[in-house]
Amino acid sequence: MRSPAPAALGGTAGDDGVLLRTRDLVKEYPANGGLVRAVREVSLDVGQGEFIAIMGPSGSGKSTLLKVLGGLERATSGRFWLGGARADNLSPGDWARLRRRGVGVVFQSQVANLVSTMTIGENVELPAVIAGASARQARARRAELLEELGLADKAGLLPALLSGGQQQKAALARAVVNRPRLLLADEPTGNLDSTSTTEVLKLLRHAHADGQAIVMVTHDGRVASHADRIVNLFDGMVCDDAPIAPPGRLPVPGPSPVWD
Amino acid sequence: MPASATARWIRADWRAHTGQAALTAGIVAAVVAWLLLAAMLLEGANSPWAALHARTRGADVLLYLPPGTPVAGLSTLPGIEQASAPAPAIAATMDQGAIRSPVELRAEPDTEPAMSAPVVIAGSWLSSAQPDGVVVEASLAAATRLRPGSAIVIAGPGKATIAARVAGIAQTADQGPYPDWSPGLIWVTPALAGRADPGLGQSSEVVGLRLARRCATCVASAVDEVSSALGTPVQRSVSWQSVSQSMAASGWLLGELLLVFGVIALAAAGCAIANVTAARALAQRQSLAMLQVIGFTRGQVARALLAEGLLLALAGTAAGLLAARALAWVLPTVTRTPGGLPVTFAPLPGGVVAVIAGGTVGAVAIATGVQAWRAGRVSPVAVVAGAPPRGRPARLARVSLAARCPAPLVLGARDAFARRVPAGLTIAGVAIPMALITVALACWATIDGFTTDPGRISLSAALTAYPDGEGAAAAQAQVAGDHQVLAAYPGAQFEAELPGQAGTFTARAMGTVRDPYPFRVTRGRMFAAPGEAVASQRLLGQLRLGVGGYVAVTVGSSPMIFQVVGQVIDPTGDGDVLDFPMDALAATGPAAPQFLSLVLRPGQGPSAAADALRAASGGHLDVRPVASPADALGLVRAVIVISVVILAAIGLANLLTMTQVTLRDRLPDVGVLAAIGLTPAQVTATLVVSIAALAVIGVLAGTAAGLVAAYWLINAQGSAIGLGWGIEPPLSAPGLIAVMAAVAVAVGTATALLHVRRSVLARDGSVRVTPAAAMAGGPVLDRGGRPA
Repeated sequence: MRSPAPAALGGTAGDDGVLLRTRDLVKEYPANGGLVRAVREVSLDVGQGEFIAIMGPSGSGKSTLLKVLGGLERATSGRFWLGGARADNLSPGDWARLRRRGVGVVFQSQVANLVSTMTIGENVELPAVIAGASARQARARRAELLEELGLADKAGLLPALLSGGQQQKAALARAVVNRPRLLLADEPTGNLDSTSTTEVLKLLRHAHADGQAIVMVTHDGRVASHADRIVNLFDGMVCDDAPIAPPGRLPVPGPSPVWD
Repeated sequence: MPASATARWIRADWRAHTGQAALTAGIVAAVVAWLLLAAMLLEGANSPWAALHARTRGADVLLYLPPGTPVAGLSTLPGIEQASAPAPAIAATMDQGAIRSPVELRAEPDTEPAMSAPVVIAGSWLSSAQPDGVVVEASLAAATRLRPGSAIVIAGPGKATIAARVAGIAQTADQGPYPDWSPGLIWVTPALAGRADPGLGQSSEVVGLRLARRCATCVASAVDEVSSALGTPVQRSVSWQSVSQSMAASGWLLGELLLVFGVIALAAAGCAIANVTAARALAQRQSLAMLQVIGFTRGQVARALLAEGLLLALAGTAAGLLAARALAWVLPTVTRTPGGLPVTFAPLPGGVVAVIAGGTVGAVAIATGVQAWRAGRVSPVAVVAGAPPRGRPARLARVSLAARCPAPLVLGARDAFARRVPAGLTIAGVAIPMALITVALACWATIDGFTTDPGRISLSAALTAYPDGEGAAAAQAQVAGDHQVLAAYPGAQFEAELPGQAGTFTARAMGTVRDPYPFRVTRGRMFAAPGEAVASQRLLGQLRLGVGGYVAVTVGSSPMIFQVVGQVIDPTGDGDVLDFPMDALAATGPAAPQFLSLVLRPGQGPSAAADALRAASGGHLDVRPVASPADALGLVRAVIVISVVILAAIGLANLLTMTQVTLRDRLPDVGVLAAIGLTPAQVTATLVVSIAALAVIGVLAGTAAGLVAAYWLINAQGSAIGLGWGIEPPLSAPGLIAVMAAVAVAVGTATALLHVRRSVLARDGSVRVTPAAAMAGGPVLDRGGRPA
């Protein structure tokens, strides 16, 4: 019944320190009798522990790319590797097993990111239990995460009773409970007020500091500025891919390279 | 591990949707209990002996031996498992004025015997403190109208006359029902037996045997074993086969009725379970997709849903088994058959129970399995994008809008039919239970009509008076003139042979040409000349005869030829009846009536009138109430009430499901409706109309279909039991069914209104524009916000 666990993200990154590598990824949707190319020949490398922000206007294919990278949708063509192993040809079941430990996924805050019938505490514990943790381990990890997020007193409540920001923090806790090597976050701060945004970003930075690689889709330049690198998509294509220099090491003002 | 993750998810789902889970299990339990009771009743009606034999530890063979035969050691003989203590049996007569019934007195101790212990159904067992107390076998008591406390006179074989009092009434599996099985049985104390037959010189000794095996030849070989062991021939033996055959009564109608309702309930429950499961899967769509996002495989999601459904089915089945067992225990104490005997629920063979329980669990498993498989196909992306409702506005809606109908009506109707297939399924989900409820109510009305208007089934005469001995003619004239009697029809009854076939039918003279018995004529006309007759539908079918044909009958010893001029409803003699005028008998010689059929004035109770007339005739008339198919009413009514409740619950479950699905689809539009200027009341009305429109159509369609089905079903059933076609009018109980339909529509609308208001309106009465917080079918919370 159970196929062997996928080799992807088995332990380390690829030989060259690249955790996620895509080559010519294409995703097409049938729409209005024709095909819409949401993602066009995207080739990206994400290093281990790297924090990438994907930006771009509405409909530029950011969310679609993220879904393909999380195995939630299958790429039309192109290839990609996770931890040096092919991931684009995995079966849905293998992808499910991969998401248990290796890949955490969080969606926009307007979308239900939690199982509505389970309490916040149960939601955070569930991925740990699926991944094989004992009930005691799962409880300990949940207590640790909820304490850190200031949600400890909300553990017994159902998601519908929490504010958007609190739900989003709980969803993040749910996504990182198994310390995945790759965290995919689709507009995790969309629709959140500035306080909640700050708290969510704090948690993301915390995960980043823990050595987790993060791919975050966002509209918000201020949010994107927390990443190591910003990738801009336009009409499904990468139009810009540049690192953000750490503060204090900004490029020295001077003549632009164009003038060289 | 995943199993524990699945368990966590199922537990959370039940906690959040306890009502839905309980409803599913409850429906399964009701169906299982229903089917089991129907099967037990059917089995009990087919062979009441088996249940009684098991309950009383009855004998397989009764041996009548000469008095004083030493019977110790019989149980050690091959093939014999157990032998009862010998009981003296005395042939005697019970006198009740004009009626003398042959009885057997059986002397029993006041302690309960280990074998063949009769079941006391009224009064109490023999007691040495009450030496003149006797216990009468139930069918004998019913035939002779004895109750605990009744005084009887017993004439022993030596003409000794003893006054006794009925202490109790009991059932036994050791003999068949009186009067088919004669003599009747009365248990007496040894002291009373001694008074009836001093010295017990003319008595026999009865020993009951339980055999190691019950086979066709086992009884005969056991009897041989006993006679050779005792060295004396057995006077008489009674085998379990003869008792069983004699008890196999024609009471199968009730069981059949229950079974029909059970199968109907099973079909409806299957639909309801499929519907509830489908709606839950739909409502859980995002949760199920979420599970895939965090690492459940599709198979695990499907297995989780299937496990959840199976657990509910198993819990429901277990509850149903317990409920059936409890009801089979309780119901016989509160219900009676027409003969006044307790209703018999026979224990079912394990195989039948397994088939019913397994079949129900299997049906649920299939319904859940299909939904679980579909749920497993839900794309994990469903978390992000809910499927938008597809479809197009109905043309009717566009026309209505042009005709300036109220906006909520038009928009609601448009929404209701935007998706044709779900709309059709919803209508069917309401219409099917409604049709079945209509059939049940029509059955109720028909049975009710049997009592309020017995003339509908030709049972205008509530009493039959049988002359006894001389002075009968005067007594008849006196009874016919009694103030309680509206009309008296002289009659005579004969068994006639079916021409050219094996078997007999009943030929009856009922009334005269001038004053015929008021039969209900369904075709042709009433007889109007001595050579004319009317017949029941079943007899006409057996004779392959139409109205207007001729039939030759030998009545008594005289051959007669009748022209059948009409078809009537006549429940006598299983529906094989030819009725002709008394004048026909007079043509072959003077004939005294064998009986008088008495129609009572309105308001006269049959049993009180029977007692009064019997007394007034000075013992020259035996007046008995006429048995009616309506006598089994109590139980059938209970059956109908329970059916209606189950069906209503199923219909309501479907309606709730549909309400939740509609709300789930429509809530995102609420904000838009408010934005374009609809008031909160109009927004609410729009959603209510979109739900209630389908419910109303379902109710109306179901009622119409039910009325047609009831007409056919009841008349077909009437034909099957010998009443003939025509007992049910095309439109039965219009008032009752109209009220039921109105209640259904009101409940449907109220349900929709309640759910819509809760989901759409905020506390201050304004429209809640963010739908996510108000998702229909969302978790139930207590005031503290914790899961209830």
